[in-house]
Amino acid sequence: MQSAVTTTALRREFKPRKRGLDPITALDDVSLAVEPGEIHGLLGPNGAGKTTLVKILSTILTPTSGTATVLGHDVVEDPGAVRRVIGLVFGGDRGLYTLLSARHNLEYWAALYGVPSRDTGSRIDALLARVGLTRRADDRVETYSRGMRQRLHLARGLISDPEVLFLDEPTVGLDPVASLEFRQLVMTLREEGKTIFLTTHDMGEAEAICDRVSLIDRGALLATEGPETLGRWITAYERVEARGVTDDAATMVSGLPGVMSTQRLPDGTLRIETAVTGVVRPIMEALLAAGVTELGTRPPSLEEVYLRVFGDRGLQV
Amino acid sequence: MTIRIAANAARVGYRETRSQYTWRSWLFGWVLRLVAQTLFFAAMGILVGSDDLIEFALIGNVAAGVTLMVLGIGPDTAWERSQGTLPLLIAAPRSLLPVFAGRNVFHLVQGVGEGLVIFVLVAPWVGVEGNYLWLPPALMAIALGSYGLGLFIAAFAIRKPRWGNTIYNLVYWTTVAIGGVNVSRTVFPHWVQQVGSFLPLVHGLTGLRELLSNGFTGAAVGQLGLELAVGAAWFTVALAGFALFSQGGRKDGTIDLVE
Repeated sequence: MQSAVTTTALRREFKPRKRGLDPITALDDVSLAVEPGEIHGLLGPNGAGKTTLVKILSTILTPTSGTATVLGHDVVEDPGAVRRVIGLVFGGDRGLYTLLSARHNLEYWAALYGVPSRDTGSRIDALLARVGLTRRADDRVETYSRGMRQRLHLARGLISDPEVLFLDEPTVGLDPVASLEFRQLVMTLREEGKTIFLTTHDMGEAEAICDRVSLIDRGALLATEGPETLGRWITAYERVEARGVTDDAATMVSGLPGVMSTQRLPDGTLRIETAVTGVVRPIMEALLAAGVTELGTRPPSLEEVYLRVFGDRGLQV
Repeated sequence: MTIRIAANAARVGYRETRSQYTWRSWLFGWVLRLVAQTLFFAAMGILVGSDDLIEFALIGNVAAGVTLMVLGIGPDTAWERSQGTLPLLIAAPRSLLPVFAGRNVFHLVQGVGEGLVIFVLVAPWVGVEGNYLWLPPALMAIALGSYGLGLFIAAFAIRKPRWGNTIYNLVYWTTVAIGGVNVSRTVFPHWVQQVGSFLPLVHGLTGLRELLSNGFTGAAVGQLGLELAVGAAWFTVALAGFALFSQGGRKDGTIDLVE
């Protein structure tokens, strides 16, 4: 079966504005395949090259070398064919005509994507209902909350009923409830067989909704894993944080098996970092036994996971 | 489909224009600025006691005001950039020309309207009277003639966003300088006049002056026709420019999701 999205040895360099400086490599030899109907995550910290890859795949940017195809269409040789089968949604406040209503925004993009006039009204109504904006459809977008704008973004990206949807950090800046709603919407798209390529720097998001996740840093692809691997990393490198821990108790905890390090934060909180799965419970039990009642777990940051899993190949924290 | 795109884009342009001005800020800011410019040059005629020069400067600056507004669509890609919609337009499977042609069509109406308002305000002040019924259609021809070049500047600004305003000002003031707005084109060397022939406003203004002096003559119609032809030529260049410059922007990475 043909992959929905492929990249082969994809490279993109940018010339610095100042003469004499070396080109900046945003993508370096990136090869990946996204299968039809999957939600494929591209996980990486800021500046890793996620947006550059989405820009190339959505024909906004050309690669310096290498090839990329979407449903078999080359993004350089046949950008028109690519544009007809994709939708692009990015996060943030921008990308909408805020002085227009949601309905007028969608009418505009429907025209740009060649949706027949006779279908436009019903398709817009259906999309507005799907993203929960029917009641506000005729209000100006400038009056919308951040979450509503993001849902409208998704509706805009779906106006042409694309087979492949690129979501570039779609939940950035959203509150947890709005993020959750958005993810649920994305997961319903998978059920319809759409291929979704999603970039994020949120491991929890990648684990929650992706079928596979490619990890990228400094323009290079490090690995492609299933969400269960991500979940394992998150659990393995989970931290315990506790307040009111005496020095004796801290010493005791640091000697427990699986504890990688302990660190006293400026506010007195003790941070305990773990190196293997299954040690959080004994740590918490030991702390409770020592009379500590203010304690909890925190997921590791993406940077920490990269450093632990990929070492020198990964991000330098 | 192209008309649908242009019509939807026109709605965007109309909303943006409305958001830029209230009628007070438009009248006491923008229109007052155009009136002051027109009055300044017409006052030269008053200074030297020449009625011909007063009328020459009045008509020239009224027409130039139309071109100023219409060429102003050039830096409009900046709007699309600041809204983050430019990359989405690039990624859409249609040409950018109907988008920009549509979203700025309101500038045609606004430009002609402003030209008429300036005339109505300044003409009595500087003592110009007569039959000026030809003014509205001639100003519309000038507006249409200027539209193509404005669109070309918009296309250029996709590739060189920082240069959009500079090019707009350079083109406008060059047109005013050599286009017969305040002084006759004949004072310039032949080659400068030839260059001016490829700019909007020049033929339209010549045709307008002919209409006002001698009525509906073949020469006037010919000049207005040339004005429209110049506009059409620039429109064609803009069409190629949008394809070429968006392709260039894709290559050098100047079209960004976050500006």
